Amino acid sequence: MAWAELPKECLAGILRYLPCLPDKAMFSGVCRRWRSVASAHLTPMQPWLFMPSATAISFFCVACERTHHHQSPRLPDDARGARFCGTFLECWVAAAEIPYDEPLPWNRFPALLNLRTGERVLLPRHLRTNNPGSTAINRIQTLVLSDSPSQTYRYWVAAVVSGKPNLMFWSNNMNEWAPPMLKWDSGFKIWQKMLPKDPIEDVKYFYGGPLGGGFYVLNNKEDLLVYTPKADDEHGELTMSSVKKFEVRRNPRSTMPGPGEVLGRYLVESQGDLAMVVRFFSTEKATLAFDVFKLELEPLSWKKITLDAFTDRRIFLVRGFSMVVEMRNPCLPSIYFLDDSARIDGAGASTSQAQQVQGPFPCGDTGRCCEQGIVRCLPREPPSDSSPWTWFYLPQNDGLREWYEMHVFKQQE
Amino acid sequence: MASGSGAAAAAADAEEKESGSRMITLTSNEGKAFVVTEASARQSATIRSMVDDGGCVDKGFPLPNVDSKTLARVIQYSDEHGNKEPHTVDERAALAKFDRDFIAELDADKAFLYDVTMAANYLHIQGLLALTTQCVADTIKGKTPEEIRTAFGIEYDLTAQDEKEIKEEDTHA
Repeated sequence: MAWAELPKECLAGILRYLPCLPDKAMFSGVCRRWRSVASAHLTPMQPWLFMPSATAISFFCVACERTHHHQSPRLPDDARGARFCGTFLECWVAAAEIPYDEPLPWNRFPALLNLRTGERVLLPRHLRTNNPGSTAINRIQTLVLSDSPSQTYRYWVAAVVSGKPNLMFWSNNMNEWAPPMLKWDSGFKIWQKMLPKDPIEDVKYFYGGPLGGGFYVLNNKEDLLVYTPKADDEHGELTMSSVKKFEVRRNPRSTMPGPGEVLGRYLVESQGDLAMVVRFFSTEKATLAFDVFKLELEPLSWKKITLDAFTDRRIFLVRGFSMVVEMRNPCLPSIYFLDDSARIDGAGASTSQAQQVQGPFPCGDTGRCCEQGIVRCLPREPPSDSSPWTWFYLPQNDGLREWYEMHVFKQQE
Repeated sequence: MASGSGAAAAAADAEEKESGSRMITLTSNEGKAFVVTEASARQSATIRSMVDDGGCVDKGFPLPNVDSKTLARVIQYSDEHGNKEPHTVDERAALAKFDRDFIAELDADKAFLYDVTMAANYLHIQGLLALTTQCVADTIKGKTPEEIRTAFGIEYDLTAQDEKEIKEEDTHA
């Protein structure tokens, strides 16, 4: 028997049936040959479902539909019980606030945390308003990153915040948040006009979006606002090179009533196209269905498309960083969704921008939407005391696999 | 037939049937001859292309990489999949059950599973290869590298240098 010498194409075939990262990692720790084949056949990583609570965190693997208890990333102790309000590629998550230095009530800051490398970036708590000076920011609902945090290049973070102003920006090495301004010293009355007037449904950064690069803000009228940060701002300043509003309507106009009430809208990008996913819920406050619209430029409109347009792809929805994963293997298109019922106010209507900031956070309305309808394939309990659940995006490269292998060697030592 | 001339289609069907009813001889590396229907042999993309290229159907095909025991088992699979085309739900269920039983037997004998995998790869029988590789993957799931090595009788050959590399990659990444 020479399993170690199995032809490469057979080993690659085996890997196709191991969609889950820990299994791939174990595979590549078997012997040199298997290791080299695993390195040459990297597959797209589906995110894990990150389920934080004050007492424990766990990760549910979508690929193998299991919870990984022992092989999971660690959460820094001071981030336990934090409310997570953003997520990004390469294992970055955003916390609304974590204690800094002395754990005093006022010594808490929003932070970006990398659960793989342990890196962290503390964000300020104040907004430069020019009114004059600055003011403490309200509750952060969502943090949206333009890029992985780095010290070597400039990246931006947008914050969707309760109340007014509802949107602000930060870039590395700034000690305050900045409202959207075309000139650094714009007065309060001027920059206020740059804010989204309607409730915000979703914000996502598109590097080369169809309407230019920048933070795309989708409102509850389905219009888009594009905030393009200026790339060559003076050190310590943050302005926009442009703020554009695009009125986007459905074409053709919807004549049929939707399958339910709209719970929320999400922005996703797939193969260069921008799409809006509209989520409907029932009177029982459970997700019923989704509609997907593609942004057409001529004329500027939302065109309804079927889920078939996403064949061999899977859509993972979360406010601030929804993602489409190309599966490279044949698979039926699916939309994975997390509980977003906090968007519904007490009167039972969707309020779009409202985000719950205090626990317990409901998490029962999770699942996958595919041709057959809604499948409840994700965990649905217990409600988290500290934070809503979010997606945890694994690195698309070798990084995490190496990290797992190290775990294996540690166990052997 | 949705389009095209009915007569031509019928002729093509007839030709298809005729070629499908031809018998083909496969010879194992031990010189043992196995006579199979062409439909069964065509499960193998390797043989299919040789037949379609006007290869020596009459002389048969020697398979120097496959022993008799393995070839017999491979033919058992391709007979089942090549000679019958499942049309009904029941027929499809029966075929799925055949696959399950087929792979369960192989799973119990890893050495034989290896031989069948190698033969399926050499003969390019996609369905069979998918079956065996999935079986291997199922064995791997949830196991540590040590447990996988034990299951498949693989020797540990990662050197201290490899381990060092892995650790360095990790700290630099």
